[in-house]
Amino acid sequence: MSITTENNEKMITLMSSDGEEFVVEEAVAAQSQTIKHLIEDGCSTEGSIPLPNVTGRVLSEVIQYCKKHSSSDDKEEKELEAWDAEFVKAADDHVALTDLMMAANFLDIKGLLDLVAQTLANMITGKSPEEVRRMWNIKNDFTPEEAEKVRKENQWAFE
Amino acid sequence: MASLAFSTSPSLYVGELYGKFLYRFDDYTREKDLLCVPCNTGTLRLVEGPLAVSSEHVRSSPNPATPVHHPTTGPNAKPIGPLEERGDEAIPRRAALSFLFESFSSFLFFKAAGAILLIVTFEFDGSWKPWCLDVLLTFGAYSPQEAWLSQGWKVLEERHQQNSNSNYFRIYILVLGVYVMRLCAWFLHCAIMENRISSLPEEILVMIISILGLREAVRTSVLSRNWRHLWKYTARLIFDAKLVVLGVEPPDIDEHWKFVDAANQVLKSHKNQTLLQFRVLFPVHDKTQFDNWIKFALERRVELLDMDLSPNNGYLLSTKFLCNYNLNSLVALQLKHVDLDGEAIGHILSNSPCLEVLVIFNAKSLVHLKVSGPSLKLKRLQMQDCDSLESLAISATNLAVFQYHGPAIKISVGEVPSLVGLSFGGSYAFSCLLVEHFPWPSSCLRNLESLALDLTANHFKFPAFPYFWNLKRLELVFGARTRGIKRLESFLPFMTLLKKCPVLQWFGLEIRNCNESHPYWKPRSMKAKRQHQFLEVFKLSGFGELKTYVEVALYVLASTQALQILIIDPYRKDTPYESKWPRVDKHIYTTPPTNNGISLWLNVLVLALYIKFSPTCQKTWKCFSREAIKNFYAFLRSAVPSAFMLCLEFWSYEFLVLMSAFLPNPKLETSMMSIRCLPLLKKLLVSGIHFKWNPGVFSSKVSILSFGHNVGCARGCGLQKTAAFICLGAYYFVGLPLAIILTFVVHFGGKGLWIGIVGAIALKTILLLLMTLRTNWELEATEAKERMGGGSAIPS
Repeated sequence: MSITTENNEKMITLMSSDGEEFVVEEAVAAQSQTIKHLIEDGCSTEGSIPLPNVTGRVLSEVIQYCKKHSSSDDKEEKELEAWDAEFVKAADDHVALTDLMMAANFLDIKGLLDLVAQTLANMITGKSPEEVRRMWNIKNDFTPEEAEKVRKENQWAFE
Repeated sequence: MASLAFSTSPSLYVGELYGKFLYRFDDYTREKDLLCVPCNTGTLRLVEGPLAVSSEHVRSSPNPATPVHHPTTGPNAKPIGPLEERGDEAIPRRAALSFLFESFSSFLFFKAAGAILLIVTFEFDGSWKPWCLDVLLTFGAYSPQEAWLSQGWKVLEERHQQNSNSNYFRIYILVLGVYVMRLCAWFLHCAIMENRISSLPEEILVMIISILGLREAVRTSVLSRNWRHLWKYTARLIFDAKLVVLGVEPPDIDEHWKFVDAANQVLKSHKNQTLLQFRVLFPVHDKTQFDNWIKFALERRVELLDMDLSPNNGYLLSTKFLCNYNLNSLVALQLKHVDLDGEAIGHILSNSPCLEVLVIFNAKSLVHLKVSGPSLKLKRLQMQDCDSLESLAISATNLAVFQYHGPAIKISVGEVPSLVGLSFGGSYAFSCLLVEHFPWPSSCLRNLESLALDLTANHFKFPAFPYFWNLKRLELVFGARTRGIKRLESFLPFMTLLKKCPVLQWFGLEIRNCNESHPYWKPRSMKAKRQHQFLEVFKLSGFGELKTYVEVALYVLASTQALQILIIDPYRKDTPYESKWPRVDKHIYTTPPTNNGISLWLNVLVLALYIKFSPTCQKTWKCFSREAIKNFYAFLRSAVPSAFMLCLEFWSYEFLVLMSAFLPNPKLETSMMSIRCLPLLKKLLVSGIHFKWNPGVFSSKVSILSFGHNVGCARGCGLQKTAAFICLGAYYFVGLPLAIILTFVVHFGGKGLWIGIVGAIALKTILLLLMTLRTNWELEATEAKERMGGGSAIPS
């Protein structure tokens, strides 16, 4: 389904896994390499583009990001960076960052992927393994001997 | 929703309570006009229900991101708010929740105030009056604490009348029970909100690990078995000897070998077949070691190769060695203190079609260099301290930035149409200024936007500065001890450079290596002859004397029109270590329920103090005794279901708040839920019923039965279990499913949640009312007497 608005922007309809539909400008959607390729292959001409791996909530965040980044090519980089930081903070409250990461990966949006990966990495930095486990609900399934062995392998990192 | 909108009149006092929170709430949202307006009198006024707001919003919005309603979801499909706006003012879910907790604690403050008021009236009158109950209801008729308030009240009453202290402990048990359950609720919603990173596929985890420093990455191996080998696929290998060796003075040879061993160990266990970045900052002594490392990186098709062997310079990277490897993956190459000659660089340039950045520091053998080629992608070329260099030829169509710091040589410049930034240092910078014309052809200076000259290293003569018609950014660095400075007496002449750059926006002036009191700098006033029109930023750093700052600052302020930023930085800075990834503040995930707990315990404390010190209880309060545990089982039998019942109610609200966060427009929905319209709503309903029904209840004058509202009745009647089941049924088997169905299946949105909860409350109220009506109060009174006081008399 392609609609053309007054300013001649081609519109694309994206459908999330839970059936929610979003109409966005092609330029916005094309930030995602995956969608770009789908458009090039002519998937957008009949009906909406289904995105089976992305829920509506996550998709709305993603679109928000793409919109900002397609509209502000020539803006100050710093401003955009600040916006990114705000965005990822807000997104963290709406959706799980891990979901956002999955979506960015599936949709192949490099900027977003880097941004979220960086945020997740920052969460690890400076934390003890125990803190990281607690934060992300990772179960420690090492026996004490095994753990000691793993530590020994790269002793320098744990000093 | 309209039917549930609150009118102003009946909730006046409630509004006073909540007005405070609404103000707080405004901090979180900028949609004041849409949500709620606390007016001056403190009266709560909901302008419109949340749904009316959001749907209208969408209807009037031309925003193309508004989703098209899917045919199957019907016309009421929940629309999503305009995305732009959401981004700006999205109320974070966690903020909403912590707000919830906070508001509870403030709310409890009023409750405590209510309790004190009650106690005071009790103290004066010796008995309590119906209006006390109104006060109690006003201030604290909601929440689990009500249970123990009423229980505590009961104890006081009985104490007064029966001289028995058997029920004293029971309050605490009850409170404790409520506590534990609330804690459970809190953990529950923590569990729902949490990030489960292990659910990510491994390649994404590797991506995250690649961002970490090597040490951090290796440390993830102890997290769990799944994580054990992940770091071995990291795409960045950064061996920064400073992290290991730094701080060891003098450099410890053992530490060096330890570092090399550790690095080799890492390389051995590394499993990824491609590498993004390989970086070594280490003064290596062993050539074969280093050959191996570069081989390792090049074999894995590294994109960013970065070698910094300072302060050593013993490693020679030869063309012969490079010929063995494929270089076409290289995007950026940085070789500091690595020796290589022009031939090797030529080989790299011609064999790396993607190379964009080339940085060469201190290459001793480099004598002649030619940077040219038809398909050269090179964008940035930086050369520093290549002291043997004699000739340099540049002809690169994509070159945007060229930095050269070194001896004055002849640089022959060919076609550089994209050049926008130049940076010169060392003798070359002087040689540029000594001649009448800038030694670069004017064709390549036409587009030049940024120029940096570092004139610290040599003799100084005031520059015969050429005109730069398009220059936007100019940075000049001078050394204070250079000869020319002595003649200058003031730095103001530098300001005349502004004339030569008519469109300059950014001007930085820095003096290095200067003493605090430099005798040659004397302030001198100088009038601006012509105003500079475009200068926006002026940065002055490294000057020694305050007067000089003032002088220059005044001059700048007087002679510019568009100046926005004036930076004066009196400290000489060493080159800061720039990390590619800026650190984001650590995220803190806490929504502690402690506030609430504090006010709760305050409550307990006040009650305890009262019992301890009040003359009313003088006779009754002896000490802790075993008597308190008498009939304990019977007590628990009513206390546990009672606490459970209250928790059920409480949790159902929590559920709603959580569910509302899953709606497409969580900002609006969550905020509306968490603004505590729920308790408000309940309070209105309940107190309405209370006012209607309490004459009857009061007339019976049986204190144990008269705790206000219907649930209290059931509680008082010892029908806690029944009431708990009613709550369970109403909230969880009717209310929540109704809410879920209406919201997520029929797509009523937030409206569904509201209908669900109101339905549950209504059902519960009706059922309890029926129960109340069908109760034989006389009989209950007698039974209650037995239950509470072991048969002692309650005045009727």
